[in-house]
Amino acid sequence: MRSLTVGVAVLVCIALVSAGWAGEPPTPKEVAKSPDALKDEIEGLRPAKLAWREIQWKTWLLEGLKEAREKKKPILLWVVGPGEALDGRC
Amino acid sequence: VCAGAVRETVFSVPEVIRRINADFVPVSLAMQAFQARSEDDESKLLQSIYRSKAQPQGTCVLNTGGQVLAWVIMYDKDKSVLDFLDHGLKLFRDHPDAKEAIMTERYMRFPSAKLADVKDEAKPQPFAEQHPDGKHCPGTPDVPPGTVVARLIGRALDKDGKPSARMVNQEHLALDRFEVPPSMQEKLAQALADGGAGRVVLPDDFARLCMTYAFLGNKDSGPLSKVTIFRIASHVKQCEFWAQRVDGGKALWRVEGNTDVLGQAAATGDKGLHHEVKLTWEGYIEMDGKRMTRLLLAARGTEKLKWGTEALQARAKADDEVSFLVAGRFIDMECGVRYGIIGEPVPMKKAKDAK
Repeated sequence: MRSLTVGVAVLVCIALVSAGWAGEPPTPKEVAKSPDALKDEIEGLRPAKLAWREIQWKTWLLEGLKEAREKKKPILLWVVGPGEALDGRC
Repeated sequence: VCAGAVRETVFSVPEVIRRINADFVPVSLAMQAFQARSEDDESKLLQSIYRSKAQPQGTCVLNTGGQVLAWVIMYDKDKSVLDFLDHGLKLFRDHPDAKEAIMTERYMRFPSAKLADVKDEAKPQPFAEQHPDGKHCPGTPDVPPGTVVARLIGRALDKDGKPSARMVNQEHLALDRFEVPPSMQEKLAQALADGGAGRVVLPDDFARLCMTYAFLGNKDSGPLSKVTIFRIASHVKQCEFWAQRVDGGKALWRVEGNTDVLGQAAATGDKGLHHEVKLTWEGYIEMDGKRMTRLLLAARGTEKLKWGTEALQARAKADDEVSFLVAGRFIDMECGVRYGIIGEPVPMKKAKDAK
């Protein structure tokens, strides 16, 4: 009889704990995000606007020279080191 | 360091942006583009521009014939940036094309630190408007076929744990790019195949590649950066990535990992570095045979970065940052961070022809 009481108590505890878990929102650690959800999360880190990108940079000198001749404007040429100064680390 | 400082302190200033868009044709090129030794007109022009440079990196004003009117590396004050643009426009009015030889002005710091002028000869006109047939565009990265190009985004978190609203300086926002070469993909595929349905430890070099690029700050400040201006002593405390096949997904693997790295360098001039990055990773790798078809990784953790000496910090209080761009900017920060990496195979039309 005593063992039955203990067994029921254990089951009740398990049921209560399970109910408690069921009522809590899953944390990112417990439930893996789907690939699409993870991609959205990563894309969400990307800024909508970058200050230096407001400059209308060209990345091809011949194209820049053509436009310079057409618009009669000088070229401002920014020479950068290894890496990508416009969309990368520099 | 220098290009990052220029991007942050010169080309992110609203009035500078407005003036450049209004009065110039802005072009940005990596220095490698100038080092090609081909004999076509475009390569010769690039070489002639670079011949008069004051430093390997810098900014210059060209006329419509491709002659260099003036080079500049740094500026006396913030206002000197706009003065240099005005000066470039004046030189352009005097020499709009390359019909005659001119003298290229060169400034280590505009306008106070002028170097010797260099003669730039008259140039034949007109230039070609296209690259020669079969020539790779010097303005775009040269990537072998089969390579996965991975783009990284890193954000410093504010005190509430949200991405910082500050997005000009690289200690707040990191954008980077790296490549997963076909040979590494094959090694990864072999490790995944050998692991079967269980949990697989991914090759060290792949885990280390991802860890190497996940840091805030300029390109020389990474804990694992291989820079030439000073040697960084790197201590990798942890670098482990695992993967497990996703049920129902024949070629989809869920990835988890932990990385913890410290990089330190003794002060050299104005420089000096202490950089710690500790991250927990999650994500997916999608494979098609021996090739990676998608890489998705997200990481969270903490970062501590100190760049520059106390002398550099003191200088920033006395002078405008545009006057010491070469040294970079003093940084002392400690915060939460988040990173994301999305990698995809390079489109074949962009890949270099291996033949």
